[in-house]
Amino acid sequence: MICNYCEWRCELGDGQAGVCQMYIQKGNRIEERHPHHYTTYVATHIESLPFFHAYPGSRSLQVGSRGCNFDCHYCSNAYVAKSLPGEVYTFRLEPKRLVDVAKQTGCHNIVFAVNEPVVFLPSLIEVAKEAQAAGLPVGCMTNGYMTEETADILSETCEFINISLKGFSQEFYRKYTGISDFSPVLRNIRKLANRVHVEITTPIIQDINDHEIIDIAEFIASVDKNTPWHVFRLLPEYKMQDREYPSIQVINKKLEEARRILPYIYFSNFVGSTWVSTHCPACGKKIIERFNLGGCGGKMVKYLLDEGNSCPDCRNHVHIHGNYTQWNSGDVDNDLCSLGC
Amino acid sequence: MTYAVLDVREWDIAVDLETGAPLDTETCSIDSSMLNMARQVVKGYPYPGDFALESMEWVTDTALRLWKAYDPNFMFISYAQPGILGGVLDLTRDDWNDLVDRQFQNVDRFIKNTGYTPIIVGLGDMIPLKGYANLSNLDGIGYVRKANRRYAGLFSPSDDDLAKLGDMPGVERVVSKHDFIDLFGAAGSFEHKFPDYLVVAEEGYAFKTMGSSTRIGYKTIARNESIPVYAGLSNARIHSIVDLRDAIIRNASRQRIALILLDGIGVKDFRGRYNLCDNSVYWYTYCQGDDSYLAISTGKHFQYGDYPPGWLDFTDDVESKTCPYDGFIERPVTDSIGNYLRNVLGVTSAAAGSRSTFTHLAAGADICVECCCCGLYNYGTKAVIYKDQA
Repeated sequence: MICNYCEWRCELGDGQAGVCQMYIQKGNRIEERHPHHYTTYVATHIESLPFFHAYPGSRSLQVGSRGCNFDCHYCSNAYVAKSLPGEVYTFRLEPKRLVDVAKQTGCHNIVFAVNEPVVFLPSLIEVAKEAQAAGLPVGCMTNGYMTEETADILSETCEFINISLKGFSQEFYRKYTGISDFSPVLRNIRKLANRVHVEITTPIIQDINDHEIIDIAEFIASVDKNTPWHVFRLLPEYKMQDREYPSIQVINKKLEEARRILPYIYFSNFVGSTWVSTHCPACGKKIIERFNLGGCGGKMVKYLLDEGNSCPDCRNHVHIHGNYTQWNSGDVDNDLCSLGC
Repeated sequence: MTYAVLDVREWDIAVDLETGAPLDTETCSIDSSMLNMARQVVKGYPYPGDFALESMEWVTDTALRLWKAYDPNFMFISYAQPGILGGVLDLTRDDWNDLVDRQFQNVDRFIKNTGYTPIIVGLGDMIPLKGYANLSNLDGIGYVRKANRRYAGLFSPSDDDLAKLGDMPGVERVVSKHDFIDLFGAAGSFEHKFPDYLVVAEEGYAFKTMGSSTRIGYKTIARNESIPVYAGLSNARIHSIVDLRDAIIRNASRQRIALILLDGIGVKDFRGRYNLCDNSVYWYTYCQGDDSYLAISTGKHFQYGDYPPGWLDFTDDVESKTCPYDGFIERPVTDSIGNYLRNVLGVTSAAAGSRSTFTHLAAGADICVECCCCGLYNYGTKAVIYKDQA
């Protein structure tokens, strides 16, 4: 049988798993091997995932499983994403339990991050149904290498999606991620951006994909100019651990040109980044202030947009999905609040 | 003002440590000689990363650079590598021994080069991980702070939860907030933040629950009621982890002292002579996290601090939180040893370490240089300057 979750479309035999090792053929069905098994769940700032233009200020329950359908040479989470079943400790959490945890700990939404959500899609769908019933939006981080039918499902399941566009050439994708054709990623970005809130992320490796910065910016602009683009400075990890760290100045200089194409370009993954705040594209005022402790994204420290998400100085409308949410507002009426936390 | 230089190889920025705001170093009123020295020490000498063995040399070399540049009377040095690497790498016995040897060679190199009187503290052994106590399917919320993994907080448990925990493999004891406060006598912020129950792992076990690490674990910290200390001071009376501060303060005006903390090193691996020092209070044993570092620095047991084990630290991480670059810390540690030496005794101090923010938080030294790592990812190098502080 063909596994149609991602564009590998692996041909499985009975009892066999495909590239991601997460689905198996059982009789005439393709099934998840370890449904509802996770490696982590933590409460975190939505900006740290990162989502900068969705539910700003909110507390996300970040959930991770294991496995991936890519083999990115620089993967920061390879110990989980590329682990084989049994190598890493997982625990089963039923969808209702996960949603209860989110509510009990004052989380405003649930975001599947850490590893590729398409490799555990049936579990994600079940959690999303529970979450939606409980009034919690669901988001995810994906590499975008899913089939069109999966993209359709994901667009009905997740309100906000961060898609990693890792480069802009077949050569890059072939050499550094293990897939032969990245056009499905572009197709899915277009499709998903039409239906849900999308942000894009690109890890930049100096001298390897930094020459593709303008191509990527132009592509994003062709989808939607207001799409936030998160550029990460590569951390040399996994198969690229011996590479030099990219130069902030060199990468940022290349981003300067891209900033003329896209208004919301962020640059992070190093401590102290001054490129994680949002400025009004019309008047230049800093309208959402963030800082970066290291890591992806950042933490919001000031939100200056008015209730209609307009710049307080020039009234220019800034696209934000969902409302600004105070970090501790979800604690109201729940058990933690009664404990004085 | 306390400020920091955040150095990311060829790029850096100075920030006000209390507000996190970038500093215009040309116009703000800071001691430019300290700032320049900080930049000089970190520039061109980036932290290699938590997984790189060379990070042990980085600590020693950074300490030597600080010594040459500032010549302080007191040095605080922390080495994280044996503890970190033992935890997440499947090391052979020989690999581990090489790692420990390299650690002590680095300590020796610093002492031989500088002539400081050393106080070397092994913060505790690493032992093979036997398994996990999984708290994720309780009715209540189990929570583990990154910095304190032997103790989990438990919030709003059901009767069923408490019954389950009584039989759960890997759980040593479950203590109610009331019983804990009754015995340990904590108050204030610590009491306020303390979980409904504290769950204590059996030796060799760790927790899986909200907040626990995804990394594959190989070793975990031992439950060491005592730890090895070598003190080169003739009059040192160090019976407990909280006595170290006093021993340093009594001698710092007339002797140049280096306090050297070694994560992951206990009696099993300590090289050279040592005395045993109490590493526990009642049934609580320190676990090489903020509890150990702050107890050593402040001379007070953990329950007299602000940050209990199992505390839901994320609930306090609001937009307006002060000290944003200091992780869970909500305000500067005013009773650190460095602060006392500077403000009361007028003794100069410096710190170098690979235990990220713990280094400057615990040391409180005039100038502190540390790695900026989180989750074992290497995001840069930080120099913190307290000297401008009133």
